[in-house]
Amino acid sequence: MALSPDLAGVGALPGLAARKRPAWAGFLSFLRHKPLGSFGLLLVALLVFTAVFADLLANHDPETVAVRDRLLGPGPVYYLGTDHYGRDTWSRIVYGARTSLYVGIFAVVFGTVVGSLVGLVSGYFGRTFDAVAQRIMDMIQAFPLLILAMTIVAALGTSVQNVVIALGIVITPSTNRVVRGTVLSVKENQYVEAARAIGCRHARIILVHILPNVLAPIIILASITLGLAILTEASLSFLGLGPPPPTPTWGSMLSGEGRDYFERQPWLAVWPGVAISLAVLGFNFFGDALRDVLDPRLRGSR
Amino acid sequence: MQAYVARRLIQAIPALLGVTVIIFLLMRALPGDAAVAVLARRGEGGEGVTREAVAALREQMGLNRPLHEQYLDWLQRSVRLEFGESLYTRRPVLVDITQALPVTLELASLGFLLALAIALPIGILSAVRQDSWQDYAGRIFAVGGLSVPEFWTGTMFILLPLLWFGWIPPVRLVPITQDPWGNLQQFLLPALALGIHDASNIMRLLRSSFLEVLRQDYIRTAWAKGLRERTVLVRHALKNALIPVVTLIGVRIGRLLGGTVVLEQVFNLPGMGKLVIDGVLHRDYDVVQFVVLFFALAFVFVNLTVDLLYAWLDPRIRYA
Repeated sequence: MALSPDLAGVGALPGLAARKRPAWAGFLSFLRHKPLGSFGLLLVALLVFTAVFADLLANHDPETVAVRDRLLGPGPVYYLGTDHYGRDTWSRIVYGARTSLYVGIFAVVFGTVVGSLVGLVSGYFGRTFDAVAQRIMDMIQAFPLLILAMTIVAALGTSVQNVVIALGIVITPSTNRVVRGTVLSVKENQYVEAARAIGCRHARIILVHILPNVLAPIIILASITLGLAILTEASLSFLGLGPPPPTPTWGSMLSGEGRDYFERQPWLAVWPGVAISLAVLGFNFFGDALRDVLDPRLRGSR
Repeated sequence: MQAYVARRLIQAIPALLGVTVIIFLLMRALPGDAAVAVLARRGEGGEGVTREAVAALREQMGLNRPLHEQYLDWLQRSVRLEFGESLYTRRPVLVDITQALPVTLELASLGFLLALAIALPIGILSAVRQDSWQDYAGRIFAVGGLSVPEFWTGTMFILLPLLWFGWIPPVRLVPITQDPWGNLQQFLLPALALGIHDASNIMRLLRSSFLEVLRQDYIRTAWAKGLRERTVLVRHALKNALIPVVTLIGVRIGRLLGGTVVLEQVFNLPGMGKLVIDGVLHRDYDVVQFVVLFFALAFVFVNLTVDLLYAWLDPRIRYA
């Protein structure tokens, strides 16, 4: 995707360009120059809408069992059909969106806040804290992501909160690394030296002079990581280590005893997969476009 | 080179020790009591779960000793490869692992090969014919592959042949030594599901690094000399374009191992992933500890290997 000249300018000086033009102009230019990113944004908006208005969109209770209506195909009453308990698939998908987004957002916020804090302090002060903190991050990264998340959930017990904690922990090191790296280069700037010379305290230098410069990479990384978090939550749910039943989750709709009925009612296997894929696709497209616009240096990172 | 390898190995030791501490603590945090779990299981044979029996078993299993003693004891046994026996199946853990390991290795390596087989041609084509329909098709495939969960691809790979042809993959494990063809039937689909996901990642990076390399002067020189397209692309461009890709592969191995866990579950393959999931469900401390330890070790060593591969790919990188 070739960057248009004005967008390239935005990439080089995000703060300046944003101040010259009103915010909606930047948004319109994003829509015009990044069709795939806009499509991603649309999918994300759709996901958020579904999650927020799940109560209105669902026409059945996602947990109500109706044995008489089991294993139906798509139709006017049950839009997407029913599962082997007669639960409405559409309603379960809709409420599953809420679970996915809830877990995804909180996990990413948790991982991003912790990772950024460690990265900021580590990069700014260096020395012992840096050495110790980075070794701990190395240890976390020495595990394959899903396997560590799995083990943590198993250790803490399956609940929505514990899935959030587990995903947050496995997300932390990558944010930490990006933030620390950016801080290391930002802190060499003269304005940081000047701030120190006029006697600013460390907290002020970090918050006022360094943090704003690290914000763009943090936001980009968070938007891309959200897709990964949703995907990993789905995998955990599929393995039986996600939010416990009867919470509707997309991953669990594809696992367990329900699998025995896929041959009789193949639609059951289709919808949750489509939902997961579209949600993750949305964040991937959107995050990629955001990265191209805000910070071309991060291209290829993930 | 040898000195570098030695130094990297020594540097890996603290991380590995940290890994063992994390695993050990996580296992001890598992809800429920292993002793109770074991007794409840044996209770099927008539023996009840009494307070005394639990205490006795905890004593026997060493669960009542201080944590650091338990840890050191466990570490000693690990180094000596004394993995003990499963609390649940009562089989030696070492036997379980030696049976499960080949399954996971076969799945992972076949998946990885398929990923390369898909990613290399598509990535190169996408870069060489930039902004053509092939490029767009390749890029859409790549982002799609990143977004679709492996366990869904796998589920579809089982479901569709079943619905269309009534074909089911072999239910029991077919060893490659006995029936190579049956074995391939069993592993091809899960490996493909694994490979597609990884291929999209590799392809994306290969495309962008290939584009970068194609703009270099020496490539223009190669064209100017009148070399064939094949020679320019494969002999001149590919090797340099592969350097960033190799880094990525090191990182991706973690995803690949995670993917094997999921796909072993989907295709009911008795590999390490199945072992670890069953272990988690049955609070089988020793099994989970060693399998997770294995995954972490494998990950660390693959990344070391990747670093060494650079030197071969790019003689400018020298390890002193």
